[in-house]
Amino acid sequence: MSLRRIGTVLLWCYVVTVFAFIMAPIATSFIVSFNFDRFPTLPLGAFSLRWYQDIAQDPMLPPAFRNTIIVGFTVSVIATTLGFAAAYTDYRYRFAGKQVYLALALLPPTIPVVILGLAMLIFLTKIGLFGTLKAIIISHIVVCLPFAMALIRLRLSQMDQSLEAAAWNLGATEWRAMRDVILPFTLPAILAALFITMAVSFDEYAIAWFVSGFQETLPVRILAMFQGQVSPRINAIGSIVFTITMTLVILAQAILLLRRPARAPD
Amino acid sequence: MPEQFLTLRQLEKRFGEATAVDRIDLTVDKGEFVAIMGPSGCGKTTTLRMIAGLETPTSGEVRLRGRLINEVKPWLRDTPMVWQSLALFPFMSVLKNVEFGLKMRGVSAAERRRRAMQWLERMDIAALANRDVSRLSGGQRQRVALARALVTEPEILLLDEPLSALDAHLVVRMQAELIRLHRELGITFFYVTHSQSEAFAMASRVVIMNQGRIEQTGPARQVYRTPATRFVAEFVGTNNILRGSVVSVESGCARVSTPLGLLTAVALNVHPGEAVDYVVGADTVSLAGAGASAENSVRCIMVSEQFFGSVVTVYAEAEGIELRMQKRQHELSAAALEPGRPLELCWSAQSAFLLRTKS
Repeated sequence: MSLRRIGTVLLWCYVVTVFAFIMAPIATSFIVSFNFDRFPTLPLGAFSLRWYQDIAQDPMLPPAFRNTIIVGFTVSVIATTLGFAAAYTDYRYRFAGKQVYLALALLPPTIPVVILGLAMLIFLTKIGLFGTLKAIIISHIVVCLPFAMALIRLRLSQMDQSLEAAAWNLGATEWRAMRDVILPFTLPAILAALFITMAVSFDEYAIAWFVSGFQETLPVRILAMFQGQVSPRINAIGSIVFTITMTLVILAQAILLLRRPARAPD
Repeated sequence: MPEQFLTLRQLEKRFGEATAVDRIDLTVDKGEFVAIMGPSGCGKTTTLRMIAGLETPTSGEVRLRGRLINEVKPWLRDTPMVWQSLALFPFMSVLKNVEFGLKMRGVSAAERRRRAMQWLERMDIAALANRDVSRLSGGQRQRVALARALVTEPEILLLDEPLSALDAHLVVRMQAELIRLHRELGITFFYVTHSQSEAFAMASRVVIMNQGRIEQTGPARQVYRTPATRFVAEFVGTNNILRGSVVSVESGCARVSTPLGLLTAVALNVHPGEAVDYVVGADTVSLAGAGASAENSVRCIMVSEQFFGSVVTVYAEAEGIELRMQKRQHELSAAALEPGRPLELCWSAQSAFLLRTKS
């Protein structure tokens, strides 16, 4: 075996190990969620959907789930719209203080969530929105917008500088050029941004915990459940949330990859 | 007298402190093929963009058919452009790209399809109508860009170095195609390029720009043969330029004192004592010998030679000054040219001319 081959094998082992470490807890949670026993032990008990039935009957979960869905949809649409506007502004215009504008626009994910959450709590209480879905939506938009902007900005940076001017040159007004050229070109990034921002909002726990009051979102509810008791229901909820989030992220990835123009075979 | 179709008057464009276009005047007739040529940063593309409405002039006028269009939005002008990058819409088929201009003008779907197909046939790419533009060769993309710009039947076509991305053999083919299109359509072509060969091969008139100003305008032959300024003499063709001063003027012939001795040239509006640039085209220089004019001759040392197609440029040196001679290869094959050997270059007074040195 050549040195090169050994290297390849070692590299593969390393990759597999890393993924195993990342995926093992999630996989365990998945498996245990279908286990009948109250306390998971090996060998596993009988296959059962009782924990899923349990959560379906929990009166606190449906409203939390509904809140999460409402927040997720609203946030993804608004954050993506604003993200597009911010990215387009950066693409199209030059102005004094543009670097500051960009830094501010991309700042939120770098702020510790506890600080952001606390700040949001104080601010939203002051303007009388504490404990409403609006409060969660506003906070999540702040967190999600940079993701949307970054994705769309990346796509715009791949666009031929002359493309928009070419549309004007052929008789398209600024709105028409936006509709017929800029939007179709950035569409994959816009769709990806919708899914990613929805996934981020769906997962976000800390800030929602600060500002939601009694309007709990699903992650907030899950943690509340977890604090009182360790129940295998957590595994069932975790599996559902994980599946939804991963679906959103994978969809976003797939859109970005599939919409990449095919190269000519010749 | 042809209609004054496009007029630029004292047109100026500044970007902050930098002046891109410095109060230029230019009139273009209907149906002319004008090439604006100059080094990068000379303002040629900015001029083009002001005609298309993509830049607003700082001062001066752009008039199209007499109408002042300085402030007219680009989408309200009918000044389609072929871009250096071509700027084809990557998410549209060939047909959709060509239809775009018609769609923006509210032409019905059936009608725009018919007209777009007509142009695709004309450009010989009808078979590619439904192809994705990313799956086209360079030459095909070029044709799509032309069809897209011309489908609205404009009176002027702006071209911004459209051939710069093509392979050399395709450039020649596209040049022939452009000349044919221009002849058939009879519209104005406004062509920006940094390439002499493109400009001289196609344009009926050449405009040389430098540092935002127009140095010279005229038919290709005139610009090539009688550069008006030292810049043009250096930029166009291959010229030998020597600094000198006029010693005497007799019957249309000037004797000029240069670092290479007394040389003669055609005298136009120069007076004894004036500082001038003495210009002689490399292709009018010959080796001394039978049949060669001996009005001006300079002994020098051969340095090197460079081949470009059938043309060879011989570099020689005299008194530390480089002289260049350009000949077709077969004209020189008999001569024994070897680096390091002395040779005598000569030219007639008729082929040399003088440019007043700007003070």
